[in-house]
Amino acid sequence: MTADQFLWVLARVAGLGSYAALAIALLSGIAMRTAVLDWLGSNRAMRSLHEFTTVLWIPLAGLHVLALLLDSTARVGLIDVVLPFHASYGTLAIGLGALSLDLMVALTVAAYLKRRMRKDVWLWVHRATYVAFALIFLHSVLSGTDFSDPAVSAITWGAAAGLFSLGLARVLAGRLPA
Amino acid sequence: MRPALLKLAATALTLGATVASALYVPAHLKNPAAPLQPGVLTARDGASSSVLGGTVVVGSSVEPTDQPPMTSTYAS
Repeated sequence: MTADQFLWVLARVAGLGSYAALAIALLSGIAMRTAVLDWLGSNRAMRSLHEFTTVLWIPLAGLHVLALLLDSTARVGLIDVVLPFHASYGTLAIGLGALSLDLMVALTVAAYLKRRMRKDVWLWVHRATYVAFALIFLHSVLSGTDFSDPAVSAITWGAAAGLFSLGLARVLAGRLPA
Repeated sequence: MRPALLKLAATALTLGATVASALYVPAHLKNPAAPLQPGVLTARDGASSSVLGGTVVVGSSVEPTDQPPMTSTYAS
């Protein structure tokens, strides 16, 4: 395996791992509001889990970006991962990744400033995580090498569909029964 | 369930997904159905492709072909 191939594999593995970590973070967040995971633990325990999982994705996403930057075949520059829709190819697909990364970094920083925000402002800022995950999902579908594989697709689409259903149920029906 | 156990389970799930990916990806290194392909691989004769720091022009010497590969066996 060449160095570029290793970096390519690393980028794909870290991307899939990061997607899983983000799905768990979102699930633990929705679980606090819908009660569907009440059997796992108290709301306090779920909050502790959610706060933990919201940083679990960061090292994997960092590795995903770093590997792509170092992989000369991928031809992704530093500005492409920061400035959305700047890449010379796959502009939309890579741009969505850059946009979601910017948004997720801003949301993670905002989470640490939560106590300094008004509750209603924080609520709307926090809701933007749904948009960020939707952007990440689109980025994965449009650029993910492994998302065209049926086995990987079944898991990733299944996770996204489950989160979408829970999110929609939360919006339409409020707190769901356990 | 204790918060520490939940965190451990979430970490295990993330690591499990990463390890499963690490087993899957090297076994499927190339995927012709991948939505994004480096430009030079799909360029036709005379087409140019922008790369970091310059432009690559694909000539006929690297043009893809449908011809079967030529092999020869030498016996002395």
